[in-house]
Amino acid sequence: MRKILLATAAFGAMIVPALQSAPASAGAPGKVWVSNAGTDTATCGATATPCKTLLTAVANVAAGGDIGVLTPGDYGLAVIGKAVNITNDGMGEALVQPLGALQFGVHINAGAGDVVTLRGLVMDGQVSGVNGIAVVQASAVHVQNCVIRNFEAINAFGIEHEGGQLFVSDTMILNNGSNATSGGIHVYTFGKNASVVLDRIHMENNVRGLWVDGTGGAGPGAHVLIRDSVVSGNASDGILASTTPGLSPAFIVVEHTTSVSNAGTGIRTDGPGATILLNDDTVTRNSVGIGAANGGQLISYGNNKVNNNIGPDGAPTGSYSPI
Amino acid sequence: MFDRERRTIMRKIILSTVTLGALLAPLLPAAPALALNQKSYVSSAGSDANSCANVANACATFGGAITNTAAGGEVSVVGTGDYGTITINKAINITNDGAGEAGMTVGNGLTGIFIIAGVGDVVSLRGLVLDGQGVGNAGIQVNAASAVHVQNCVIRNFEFSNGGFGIGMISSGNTALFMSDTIIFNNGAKAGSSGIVIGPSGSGSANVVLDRVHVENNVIGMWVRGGSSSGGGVHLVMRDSVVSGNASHGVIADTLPGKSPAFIVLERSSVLNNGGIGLLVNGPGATVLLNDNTVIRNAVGISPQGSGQIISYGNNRVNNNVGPDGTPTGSYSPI
Repeated sequence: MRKILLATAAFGAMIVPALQSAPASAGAPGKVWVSNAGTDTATCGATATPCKTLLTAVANVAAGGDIGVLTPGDYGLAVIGKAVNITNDGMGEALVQPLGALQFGVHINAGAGDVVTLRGLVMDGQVSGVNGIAVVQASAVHVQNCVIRNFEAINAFGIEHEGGQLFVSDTMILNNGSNATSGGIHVYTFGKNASVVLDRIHMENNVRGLWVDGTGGAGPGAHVLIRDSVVSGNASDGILASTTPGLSPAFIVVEHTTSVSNAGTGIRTDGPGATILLNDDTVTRNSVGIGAANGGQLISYGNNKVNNNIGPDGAPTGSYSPI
Repeated sequence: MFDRERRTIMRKIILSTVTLGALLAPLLPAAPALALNQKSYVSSAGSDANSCANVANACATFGGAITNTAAGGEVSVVGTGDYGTITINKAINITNDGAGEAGMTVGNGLTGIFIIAGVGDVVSLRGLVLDGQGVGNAGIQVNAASAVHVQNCVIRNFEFSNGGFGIGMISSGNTALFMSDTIIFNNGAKAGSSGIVIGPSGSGSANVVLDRVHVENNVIGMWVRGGSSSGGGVHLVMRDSVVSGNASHGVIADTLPGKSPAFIVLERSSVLNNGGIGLLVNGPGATVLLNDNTVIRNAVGISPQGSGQIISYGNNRVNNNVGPDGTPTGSYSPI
């Protein structure tokens, strides 16, 4: 939907026809509740008859509708194939768990125009889970006030994002990943376009912290901004942008962010289309501070604090001047 | 963009109210009617047949609670629930401090919170989740109030096919808006619709402060309009905020010759990934001051047009936009 809107905005004051699918497909409620004391049925969801699990709640709610949380509880995993909003605002812990090994917390493979919101959820992979949130397709995914932890299967990530817009704020992502190419957040686009904004997030004690990876295919690439965040104690690199010649660009703006005590490089670029802009960051006590290899670019605004790393602090490859 | 029919009707009502208010003014300081609560409660287990006066007698909807609450009183949220759309015509405070989701699902073409209060009335909204479910017209529409305070709210999915906006302020009076820690996303459908629109009418003016606000994935992100008013103008500060992924422009300040000024101070904010111009400033009275912002990966970075002014403190990062980055029209030096 957004792409159509964009074209419309560019062409002027055309009126966009009603693009969104009808919210209430004949009888499906626009709001469905879950409760620890609920029961899953084909019609559950009213406040008096809440559902027990997110799986059933998602099935029962209309496209574009809301799922609300009535009580603290364990709500299982969610498989999302349409626009939906899952909201817990301080009702207690709303736990999202894989139901077995190699499963997801929230798996999103929705329509190209669908918007999904996840708010106030605790996703725990219980070691054997593979992704806290996996975004295969959506127009946009909004994640607020969540905890994503303990997804430690092979190639596991707290969030795996394969395309579309992703917005994450006020969220903790900790102890995810197991092998060398796993970790906190993986933006891996398979040639699709991805735009990501991360604000006030903590990525702690994962394998890699944030990895923006252009090697999935040739395309417009991934463009990520992380601000006011902490990337700390990860077993490998804190923040990595990587690609290879001919494949998608991997671009990150890192601002007002602290990358500290990571066992790899604090902030690293690798490959000719891998670019990171550094604004007002602190990079300290990592094995290596900042590094660029194979044509990757690290561009500084001249206001970053890169000192007291264990090995080399490193140097940017270029600079921008503020205006 | 707005519900014109209702707006006209409401204007008429407020005009007559203002007239009456002037006549009755000496009587207004009298105590509120005895039957009304100073504090009311809402709960998903409540009933609007209750008094709302305590937790055991909570009402079921915000509308029911407001009816039972004195001007200047408070509506408090007991627990998670869906509390219905409201019209606010007096000073009132609605507070949810972590009691669970205080939700409001809004139907086709409708408005979640419609504020048409009196001169001097202050409204505060805290901890609410307003959801247009893809078809609602507006999360919050402010037609009249002295000040509106919005904290810790979510305003999303207002995508009415003939409009759609998250929060709109079109007061013909002098109105202040203070919004903090609030996320406004996926609003708007029609070209020209937006996440935030501040556009006083008549001789109205607006003073606005936005702190730690996310404006994501709307059509236009934020539109500050001086062109529909001949009053004192819109003066807005946005700080520590993110304006990202909007399908059209990120931030617009615009006006027309002879109309109100549109003035923004934008500081410590990130404006990125917008499908149009990151910051568009258009018109002879449109001015934006830039302090310590990042404007990146928009179709165009910053664009002064039609004698609009973009004044930089020399500490902004405007790079790597898809098209031109653009340049400020002037600079200020910090002291």
